[in-house]
Amino acid sequence: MSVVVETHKLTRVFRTYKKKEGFSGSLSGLFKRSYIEKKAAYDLDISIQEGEVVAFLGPNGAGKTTTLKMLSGLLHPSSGDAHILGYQPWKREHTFLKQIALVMGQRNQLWWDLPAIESFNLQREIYEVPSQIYRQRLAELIEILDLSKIINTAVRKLSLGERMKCEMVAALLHRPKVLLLDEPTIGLDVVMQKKIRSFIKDYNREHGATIMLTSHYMDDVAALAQRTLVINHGRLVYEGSLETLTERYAPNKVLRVTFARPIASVDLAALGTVVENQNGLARIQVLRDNVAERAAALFQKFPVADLSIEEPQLDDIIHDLFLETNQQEEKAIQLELPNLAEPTEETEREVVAVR
Amino acid sequence: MIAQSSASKYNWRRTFRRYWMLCKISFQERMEYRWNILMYMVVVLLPMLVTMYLWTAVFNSQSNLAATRNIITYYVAAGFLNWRIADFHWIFMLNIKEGRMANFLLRPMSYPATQFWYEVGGRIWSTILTLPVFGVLILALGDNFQAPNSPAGWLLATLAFGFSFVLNFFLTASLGLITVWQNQPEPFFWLYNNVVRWLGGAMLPLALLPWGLGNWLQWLPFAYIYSLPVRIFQGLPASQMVQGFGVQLFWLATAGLMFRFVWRKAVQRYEVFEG
Repeated sequence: MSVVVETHKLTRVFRTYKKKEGFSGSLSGLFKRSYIEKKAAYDLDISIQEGEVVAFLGPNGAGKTTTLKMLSGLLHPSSGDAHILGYQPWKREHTFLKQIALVMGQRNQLWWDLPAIESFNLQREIYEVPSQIYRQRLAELIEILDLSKIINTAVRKLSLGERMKCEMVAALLHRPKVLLLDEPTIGLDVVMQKKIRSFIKDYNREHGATIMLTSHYMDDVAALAQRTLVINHGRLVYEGSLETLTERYAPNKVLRVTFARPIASVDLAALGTVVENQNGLARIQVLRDNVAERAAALFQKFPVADLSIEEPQLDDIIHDLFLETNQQEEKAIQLELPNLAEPTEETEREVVAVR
Repeated sequence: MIAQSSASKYNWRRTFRRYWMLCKISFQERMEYRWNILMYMVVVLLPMLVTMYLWTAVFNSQSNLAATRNIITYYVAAGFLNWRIADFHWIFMLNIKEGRMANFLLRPMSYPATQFWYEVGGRIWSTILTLPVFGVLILALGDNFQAPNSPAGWLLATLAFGFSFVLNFFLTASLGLITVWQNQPEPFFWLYNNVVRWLGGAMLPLALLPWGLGNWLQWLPFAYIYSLPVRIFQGLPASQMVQGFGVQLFWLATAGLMFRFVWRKAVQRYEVFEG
């Protein structure tokens, strides 16, 4: 398998005006301004194989979307290099653009006042999809995503979920080899999330497409990603499988139990940490390896009406990971204190400039 | 050679079909809101009626039919042109600010060309809508209006109108791209709109400006957006027409090169707000 996405020290710096507070701040800003330089992506080295599905994780503002925008050619990097399918994305060669698609959950690429079918027809012309193949693909996508009743309705009148499905169709009509998905299930209900997820999975399996996605939903990542990349403050802090990430940073699972009658927390304490216990509903945190044993103990000792096992929230796992990396960075800074004067080592620095 | 030639033909056809599709999308979008069609006709008609009334009153008091006809024809043609020429700075600004330009940049298609052809579609539609308005107005004006008296005159005027549309596209699109550097470029836009309308001859024929200013303004590009096409519509001597077209083409090429330069810089600088 060949490498489809490859970056080398990919960096993007944003420079923004830092306004001082209040009216006097606005007044002084007329004459002298301070700027913050923020490294949204910093020295990123990424390599993704053909047909791989990779989840790109991180908290808000970590640099995920910025990286996707650079990989799709929307943004020029401040330094570093990237190649997708052998092309430098920001040159935006048409042969490159015909092989990729970027779907952003919060962005609308369909013509707002017209039915989605008009946008699909335009996509066919833009991507030069032969008429017969277009009709075949469109019929296939409409059937899978159950769109037949809505493609003739103005986009502005569609629900978020319906619009998202139409966005998917528009993005996939030209059958891209590389699919970049930025929060594809954001704002959708659980049923719709599941549909989109299974659709993406099928697309990857049937067409061998390379997929890179960002998401805050654990279910998205668990269902789709073969590998995860985690970034914080623009830096890559973890690369590996979701299982390893979960085992390392989320050693616990949560048993969610409904009892036939309320049970006191002290009686449950022997099983694990009682996170919540109210009106016969309890949540008990137990070590991942002890889940089966503790669940069996629950059934033996208590009148259990219902039991489910919850995975920790992705955001919590990432939070723990960042806590650890931040502590490591702090330690490193303390050890290398004399070298701190070198500004290039900082991820953020303040620049004073006069306009 | 044969294969190459047929491939090149095929690409032209596809390009034409693509942009024609954009024009059709533009028509369809405008037809979605039926009341807007009526309102648009009224909005076009009202200021034209006021202008006609004003200038007819001024010149009729001098009992000079030729001068009246000249000025009325000038304002009808300038008014028509004014509704045909699209200002692109606002749409470029909005698309940059609201992140919509990103949708176009991700497609194997030129964003400026997309915007240009989309607007061509819009203007063709609005021309269809305003033709009856101008038709009624011209009938009402009777002898006070004089149209070109030969097909060649109409053709040359249409050509000058077309060049004027493209010239204004290059200038206003370049201006709109300022948004990439300056998040609130509206003051530049207001300045441009005033400059182009006053110094281009949309508000007042350049010949009526004091101190021979009109002669100097002939060297600026703005005169080739309004003044020249309208004067060609009214009929110019051949030598002046050749000179006029020559200078218009010079400004067209210069503005095109400037736009190309600004576009390249802007795309490098573009930060995709939102998302």
